[in-house]
Amino acid sequence: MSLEAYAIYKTYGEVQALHNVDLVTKRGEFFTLLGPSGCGKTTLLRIIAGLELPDSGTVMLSGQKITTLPANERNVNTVFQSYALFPHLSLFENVAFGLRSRRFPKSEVEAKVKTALTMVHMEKLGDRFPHQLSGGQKQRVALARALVNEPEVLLLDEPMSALDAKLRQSVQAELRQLQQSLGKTFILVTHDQEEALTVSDRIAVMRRGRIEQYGPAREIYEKPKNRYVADFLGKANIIKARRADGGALTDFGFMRTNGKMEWEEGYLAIRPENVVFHTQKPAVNGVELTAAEVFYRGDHVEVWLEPGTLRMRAAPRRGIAKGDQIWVELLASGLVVLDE
Amino acid sequence: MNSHLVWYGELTTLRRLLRRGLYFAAPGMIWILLFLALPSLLLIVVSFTTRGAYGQIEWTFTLENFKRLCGFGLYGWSADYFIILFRSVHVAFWTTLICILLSYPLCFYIANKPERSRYFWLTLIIIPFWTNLVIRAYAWLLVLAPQLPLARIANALGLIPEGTPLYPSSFAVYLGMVATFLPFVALPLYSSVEKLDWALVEAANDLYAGKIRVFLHAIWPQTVPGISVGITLTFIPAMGMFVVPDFLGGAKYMLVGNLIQQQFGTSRDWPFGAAVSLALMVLTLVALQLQRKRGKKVEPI
Repeated sequence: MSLEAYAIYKTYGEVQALHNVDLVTKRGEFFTLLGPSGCGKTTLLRIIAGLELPDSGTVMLSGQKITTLPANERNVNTVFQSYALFPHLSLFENVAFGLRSRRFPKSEVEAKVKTALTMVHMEKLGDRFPHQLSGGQKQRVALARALVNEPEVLLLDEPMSALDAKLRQSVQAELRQLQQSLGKTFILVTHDQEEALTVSDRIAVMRRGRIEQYGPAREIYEKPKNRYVADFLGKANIIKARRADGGALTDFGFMRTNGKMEWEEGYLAIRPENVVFHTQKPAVNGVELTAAEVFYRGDHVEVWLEPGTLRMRAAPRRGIAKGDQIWVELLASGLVVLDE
Repeated sequence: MNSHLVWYGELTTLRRLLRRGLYFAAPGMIWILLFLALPSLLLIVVSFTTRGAYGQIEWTFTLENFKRLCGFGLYGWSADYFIILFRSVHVAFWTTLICILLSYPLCFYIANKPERSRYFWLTLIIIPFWTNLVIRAYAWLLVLAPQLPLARIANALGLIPEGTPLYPSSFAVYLGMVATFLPFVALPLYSSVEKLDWALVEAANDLYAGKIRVFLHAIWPQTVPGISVGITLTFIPAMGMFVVPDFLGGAKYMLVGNLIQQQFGTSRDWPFGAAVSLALMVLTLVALQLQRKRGKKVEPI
């Protein structure tokens, strides 16, 4: 029950939407395609769904080639960004649609739809129509409508972009729980890096029709391969560096790093939370800087350090004030060597 | 009646409000009264009068016109007028249906064109409006003339004898009717098709629907508003149409429109013409009401 795509190319006129994209999902994993709008993530999803044909390449589902199989013949279902619920059908009929298309017997349709609606906590609203629902409820119905067909792979096209921030967080948690309990492969498309980190087992970060990096969520966050990935997921300080014996030479002096340098001159990345406050000069990777700006953010303070453009996170209790001279340590484990 | 009240932040009285309402409503009401209510009333009254010897109206009230419409003529009962009425409904119905069937592919074809050329295609649909209906009907006579390819092909297929035109015939009538009314269906339908939410089509596809199911659930419900307008704009005038059947259908193909025209024209029998007009109006209103009721229903197919 895994989905694989190999060497996918797709162009729209002059625009190369996908350029030699490979994608292999494992059975039962929550996989996320992450990238800014126009990076090709939705195109890739649509090709998997069968709503679009690739110019070349192969899509395989459970080992079978499905590249040219039309959408209504593949065992893959989609939750659309706009939910695309049929406005003239009740929720029950919306969820039953796929089963009725395949002429399931009536009793089976009823039982399955009920189960699906219960799964998304909408069992009491089966008689309502889509226009009577809130955004969050529509999203649940769309999810039930796709899952009731027991697809081998569930595709989710930015399903949470229309929800407000608070609701989105709880839906993310629910979605993750649902995926875990069903043990199905979910493929999510999103531009929201937080969402991607919250729900995914693995993430593929995309840019301009290519996959820049893919791997477990934690690996992508902690060990970004290049500046683009480091920047796109969370905040990152990019530091220019030159290779030196046992570490790298930077504007902040000699630094021990995490990872090998394949270059003479290149870049390092470090997350603001890996720039750590010290009351005295730390043993390694220490540097004394001035707090040029301090922003209070409730659970942390963000400090802009000078000289340079280093940004750090610190606990508010540290009492860092604008203009303070402070010692910071660039944690060696968080100082990642970038590819380029 | 003179107690003060506050109306949208203004202190006023009920009487003043009513008077103001009357001022605003008056122009529209007068217009409708003069040009719709009064003529209709006149029509009703005239339909109960008698035709004089020279075609003038004689104010002796009678039910004779309606009896005649129901088939009780000088020479006993005949179904002629019923046939004409039925034929009119029949022609209007099929004209509307054919227009709808032709409009769907046309509208989807245009809506899938790049935006610029869409206007070109839409203009092509509108162009016939630039010409008078009578002239267009004459043009059809030419197109269907014996020497021209259409008639020759029909002849070669053994459908008509050599040297005869394709008119008068029901084929010619439908051709003329559909050509006349196609824009009235195609344009409103196009406005629905252009706004179509294709995500619904994709969702239906994703949920294993075949072509018919996709149309029924993803396309049809979204085009009902356009089709509904199209039906209203086509069916009603098609019921009263007389130019096209007159030119292309000949004397044998009389529709209620021709009948009315004849009564007010050559026959100079205004009372009977009024009675037929009244019948047409009632028929149209009934049809409109039926269609409106059906349009309101949400079909849970």
